[in-house]
Amino acid sequence: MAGSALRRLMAEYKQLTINPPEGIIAGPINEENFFEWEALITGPEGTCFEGGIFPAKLHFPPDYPLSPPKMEFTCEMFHPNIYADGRVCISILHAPGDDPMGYESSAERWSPVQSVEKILLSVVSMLAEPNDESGANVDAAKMWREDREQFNKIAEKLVRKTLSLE
Amino acid sequence: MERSPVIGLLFHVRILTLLMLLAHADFYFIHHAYQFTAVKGPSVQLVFGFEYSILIIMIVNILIKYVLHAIDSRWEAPWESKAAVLLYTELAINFLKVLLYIGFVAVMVRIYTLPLFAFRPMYETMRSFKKAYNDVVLSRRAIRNMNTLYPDATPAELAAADNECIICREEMHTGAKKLPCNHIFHAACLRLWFQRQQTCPTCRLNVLRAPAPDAAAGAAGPAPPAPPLAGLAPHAAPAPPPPGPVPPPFPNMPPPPPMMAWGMPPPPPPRPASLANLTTAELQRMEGNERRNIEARLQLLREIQAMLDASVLLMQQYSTVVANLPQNNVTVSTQTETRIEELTKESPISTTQGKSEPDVVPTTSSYKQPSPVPSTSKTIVTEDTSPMQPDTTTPVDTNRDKTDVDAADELRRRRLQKFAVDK
Repeated sequence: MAGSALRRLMAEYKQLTINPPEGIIAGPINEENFFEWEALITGPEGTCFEGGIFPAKLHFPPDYPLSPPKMEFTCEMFHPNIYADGRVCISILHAPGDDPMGYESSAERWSPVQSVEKILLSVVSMLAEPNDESGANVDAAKMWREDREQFNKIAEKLVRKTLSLE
Repeated sequence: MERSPVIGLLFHVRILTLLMLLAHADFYFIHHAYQFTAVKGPSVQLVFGFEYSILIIMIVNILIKYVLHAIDSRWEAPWESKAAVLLYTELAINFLKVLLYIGFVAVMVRIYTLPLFAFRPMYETMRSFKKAYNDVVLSRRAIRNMNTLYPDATPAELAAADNECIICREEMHTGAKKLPCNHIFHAACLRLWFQRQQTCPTCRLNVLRAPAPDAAAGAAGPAPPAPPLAGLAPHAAPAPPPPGPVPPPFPNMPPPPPMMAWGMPPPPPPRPASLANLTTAELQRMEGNERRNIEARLQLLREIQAMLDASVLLMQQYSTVVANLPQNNVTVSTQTETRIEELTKESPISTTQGKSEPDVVPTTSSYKQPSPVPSTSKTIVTEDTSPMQPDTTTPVDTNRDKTDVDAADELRRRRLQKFAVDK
């Protein structure tokens, strides 16, 4: 099983290298180990995360692509759908059957046709449009709903932090 | 070969040691509880002994899973049946647990009273047993369906689907299966996925609820007259000039009061006689004339298409006129078909206020006239298309393209009706 996961990860790595999507860089941290990836995501334009470069880690299970990878940001993040420790809570990363927040329809869950690229694009759109219905970070969700200005300020600060400006 | 997680020998030793340690401790406690109960009669040790046995089953479960994973990660080749073995392990372990719980409850009821504290874990165990059983049954059914019902993908279909299995991102040469939803995957990849989920990975169609792939079988044998029909399908393309006796609808269009042209489609062309009235001998004779029948049908289709194109053109013309009215300049910017609904809503304004352009007003007013005329157009259209269907369907061995023809017919008929209804 691990062999097919490895081949698929290699194919995806090749695809991402040859034809990288805009604003996203991803690849194995160490080419000895294809099951741990690092990704850099630029904050989507026109949002409070614009300009930021957010590093994240992807951990792939041995039975990838039948099971989804796990993703966590390694920088400080303040976002309704990102846990305080950086783990990303997004439906595309959840296998059908487990539903931590009880909100997701199976139509948007993990399936083997998804890919690293699609995950990262989903995360970018998640940064642009948080889903405050199922808050992984309740404080962030609350602030997003009720005090958008304060949220934008915090996000801006985080952006500056990722750029080592502060 | 590089691979993760990098597991050294030390890891295996630690895990196995831990498992052995736990198992030994557990055995000791079970033994103790058994001895105690045997010597001094039933006591609280009975409850403990039962809990210990549950724990030992869990240890066995973990050990089996660990061994399976270890074997799998050691092999280079994918071990396809591992997921199945895991499913069966789960089923067996859960079954054992359910047996234990039932036995425990029975013993407790005999000796003491109803052990309420055991009910919650018992219920959960039964639920997970049911789930494990369902998983096994459903995955088996899905895999059996795949092996028996779903057709192998033909090389042409493979080429159409980029020849890549989207699960493993590798090329498909042989052993590719087509699901009822026409998505193609490696049979091996599908089997692995069906052991987890019985849905199409691409469109999430539940393969167990989907109807048997009759349509796929129908599409597999393409009918000879299919190619000319395919040419008819793209509606956006300019219509080929309708051959033969069809009165070209285009000359009817340009004049400002196109109401009549809209309401009156060209007279229906001669159709083959109804087959219901024919005798068997005549029918047999007709079978030889298959080609002519098909040609007639194609021609009919072309006529319908020409009419449709004409009506679309008319609609566009109409919307241009409406757009040119001074009152509507702001709102009407595009003239696509999708705007028609809005345009018709705006037309009352144009009729009441657009007196400055007398040559336009009749067009719009007559066009939006609600009841009588559009209804005639509608009926004429339906008369034109619907009786044609029995004619096209009756020829005996042309059922293949019938579905295509009917589908196209249906679509166009609906569009026409929509035009009529929108008014």
